[in-house]
Amino acid sequence: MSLSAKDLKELYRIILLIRRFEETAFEMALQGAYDNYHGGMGQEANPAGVCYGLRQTDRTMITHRGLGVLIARGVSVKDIFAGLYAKEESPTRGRIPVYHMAEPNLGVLGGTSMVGSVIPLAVGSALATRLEGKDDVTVSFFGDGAVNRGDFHEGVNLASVRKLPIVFFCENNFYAKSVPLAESTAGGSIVARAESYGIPGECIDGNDVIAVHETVQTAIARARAGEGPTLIECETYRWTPHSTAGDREFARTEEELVQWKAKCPVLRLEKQLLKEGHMTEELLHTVDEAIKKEVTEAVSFAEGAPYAAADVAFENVYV
Amino acid sequence: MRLLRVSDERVAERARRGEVPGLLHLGVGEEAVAVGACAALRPEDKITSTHRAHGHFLAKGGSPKVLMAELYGKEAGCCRGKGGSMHLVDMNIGFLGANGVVGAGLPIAVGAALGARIKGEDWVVVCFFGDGANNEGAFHESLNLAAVWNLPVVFLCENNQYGISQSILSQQKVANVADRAVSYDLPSQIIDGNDVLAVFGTISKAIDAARQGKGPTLVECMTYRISGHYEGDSDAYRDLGEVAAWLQNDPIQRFQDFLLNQGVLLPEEVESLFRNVDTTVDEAVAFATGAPYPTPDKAEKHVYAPGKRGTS
Amino acid sequence: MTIMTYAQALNGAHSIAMKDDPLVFAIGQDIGSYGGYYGVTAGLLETFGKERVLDTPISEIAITGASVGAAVVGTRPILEIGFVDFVGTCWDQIFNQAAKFCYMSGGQARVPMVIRMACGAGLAYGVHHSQSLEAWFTHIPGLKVVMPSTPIDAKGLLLSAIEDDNPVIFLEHKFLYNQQGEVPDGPYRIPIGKAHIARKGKDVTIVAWSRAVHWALATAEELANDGIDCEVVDLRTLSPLDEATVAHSVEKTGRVVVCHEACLTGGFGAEIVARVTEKFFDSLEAPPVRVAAPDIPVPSSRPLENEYLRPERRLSDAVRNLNAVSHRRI
Repeated sequence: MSLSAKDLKELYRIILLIRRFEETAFEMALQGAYDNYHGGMGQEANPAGVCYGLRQTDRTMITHRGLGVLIARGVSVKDIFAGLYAKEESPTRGRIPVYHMAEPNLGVLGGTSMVGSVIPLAVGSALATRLEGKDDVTVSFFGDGAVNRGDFHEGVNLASVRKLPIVFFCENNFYAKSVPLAESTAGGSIVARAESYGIPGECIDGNDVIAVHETVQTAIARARAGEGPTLIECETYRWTPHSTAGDREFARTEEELVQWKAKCPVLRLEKQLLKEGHMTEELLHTVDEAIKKEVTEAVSFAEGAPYAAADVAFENVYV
Repeated sequence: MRLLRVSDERVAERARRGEVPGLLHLGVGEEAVAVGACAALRPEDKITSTHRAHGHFLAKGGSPKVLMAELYGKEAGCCRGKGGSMHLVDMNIGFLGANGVVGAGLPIAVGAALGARIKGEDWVVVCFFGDGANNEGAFHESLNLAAVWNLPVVFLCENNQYGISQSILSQQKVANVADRAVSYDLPSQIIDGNDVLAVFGTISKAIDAARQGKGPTLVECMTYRISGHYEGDSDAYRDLGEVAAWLQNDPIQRFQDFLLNQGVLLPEEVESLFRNVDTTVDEAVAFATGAPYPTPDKAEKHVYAPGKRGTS
Repeated sequence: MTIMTYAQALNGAHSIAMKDDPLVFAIGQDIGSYGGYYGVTAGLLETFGKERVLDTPISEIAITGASVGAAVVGTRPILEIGFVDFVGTCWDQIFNQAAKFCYMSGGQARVPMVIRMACGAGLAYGVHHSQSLEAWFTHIPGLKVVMPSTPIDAKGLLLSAIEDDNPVIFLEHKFLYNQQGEVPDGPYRIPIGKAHIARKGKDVTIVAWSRAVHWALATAEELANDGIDCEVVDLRTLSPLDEATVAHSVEKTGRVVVCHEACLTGGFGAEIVARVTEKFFDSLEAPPVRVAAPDIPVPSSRPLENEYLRPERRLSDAVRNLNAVSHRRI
């Protein structure tokens, strides 16, 4: 799907919304509103680029760092903040971490805490699509840490031998918490693993939202046409620590962070929009102000909303 | 190889008579892999095995009597009757376990190689596994870990074309297990697993590389099991023509012909060798049938190791 | 003696064991420069180097199985798995491989490894980071299961666990990592399989372990004001269970409450109550009572999580009510 001016502007709105959300979510965590927040600042091109253009019936499964995907799929920041604050007026009803949230109407199937364990689940979603005789696609998000898990291997193998309609999308931010890729991943390349499953693989600049979008669209087209999975490796970087739960950064350097901040995905799209005349500085500012207002109101709402009553803890254990 | 063949055939026969209990996974047709590989090992090297372990056990130097007694469930067995066919262990010969769980031996082999490094020893570990195991998460995690830590382990895939009833191409998209090696940037080879000298040569090189600190190799040995998956398997999922074709490729017959052609072996020596093997297996069966069962109180022993730090 | 945290006490045990024996090593995700999820392995990398403090990829099957294999050939791994909730990913290597190797080999092989895992709720971490699953491990013959409640016990039990030639499941409640207590500086051992009377009393026995011991002690202090004298038995080891200590206490008081954080159904409290009822029925003056979490996944919202953690609040009434039950007619 090639992007029109309208698409580009909407894509910009989404990527900026994710950025402003992440900035505020991280800040509120540091202020003690909630704990153990896994920030996605710096990686916004991934959820924005992947999810733009997905049907509502296409499905996504995410990681602990995947709240940007929820936003890109249409979950409101109000719902997400209410979830972060663990209040009842959230799809989570305050009972579960937000990255576990499922909104089936938006194609959001949630995520898990065990790194990589979401991959077989996503494969199951693709299998169900096949059984239903539809051509919807599932996108499985995961990080570089997940590619050494048995779940990755078994999931990708199963999807490849059955040519399931799934896209395996790896956000390689080069660190699994404190362990650098070179120390955990034999061969040092994630995309190289595609060959061993007989599927195509692509490695792209994960901070170029248009490149992300176009690559994923090609993979989705393959999947819809019954040609099976693709493995996409997106090179990117998180600007914040693994999580706000007392994290100690040793392996990463200030220098490295500075280099990656220079590749900011939001600024890059902004520059392109200005250069191609799709936006003016004034319009950018207007969009930003609207987004900031949305985020601020979402936080206020979350702060003021009530917690769920105790008996809510007992609901939905079983159907 | 002849010993492995006759031993397993005799086990099958005895099982049909009701003398050998449990699930028995025989390796008839696959002897060259076990024998060729183990011939390349030093006594201090270790192996891990699978549910199809009898051949590996004997090839590594396990006693036929002690094997047979274990299969019969007798106390004189290598595991005092507690392990049985799929859980053979013999620490004296570096046989670190058959395994009832597909793929479970791979991480253990990686650990044994890690142990060599921690202890400053130079043993190498050969990890036997089947084609079915290569789709297990344990395969992936183990090869990655061994590669990234450069451990002295050789991953030997005994590709007998079937995971129980499912042929390999119904289980994975790539035709060979060796195709997985690219994921871990490991050297790999595919060889004729019914050519015992090819197995010996390839595994020797892989072992040398591991011992010299060059890390793991993935070797895929193409072979075929003439036996069913287990003794009693209807084997209905296989084409009789396919089985017949592989019978023509019998590893023992091939090596025998080779040795005769080379003049290394004379026809009468073959006879005599076969008789010796028969005798050995007869004696093993006699030993096993005559040996006592463990007494019931033994069931509660060895749940825990006594003491601390290797004390008895 | 030094006042230190539970995490520091565990760190101390690592240092002593690793200095003492070059075949003891630590393995797990982020245990190197990061110092482990809870700081338990902080500084070990600098002291002992990369060959003995092994950071790993996210590969629980491989690292657990590798620990088994390394143990079988004579080394002594201390494996850290950050959350007990993740044990499902490597469960086979624990319950089928580590637990059974000694038995299936007829005693030839030993698996002297320690698997350390953090358990417990109270930090709003949600469904996959808050469970207490000790009952699973106690059900597997071949495993030992240890759950220290204090820094002094943590260090002594970890030293014992490392020295034990069996696979030891070592469960640490997250809430306890920052708890402070006096700990001897040098090496010492707390024996595995021996419970501890944390508080002597004559009216009601409270059997507890891990965090629940602290709930029990707080309850005992509260009820002392009302003239109810509780005896608190800290199991310290769940498997093998120190039946004798529990029995002795029940014989003395005739009334027993078992308190644990884990869900009620199938929790280890059921095993204790079963044994007490089967073997010491005549000592009982009233039916035994369990106080445990409800059978729900752990919610993350604080008021809901507090509902899960209601055993803490309910213990006092349970003990009070049990104490008030009339004596049985002889």
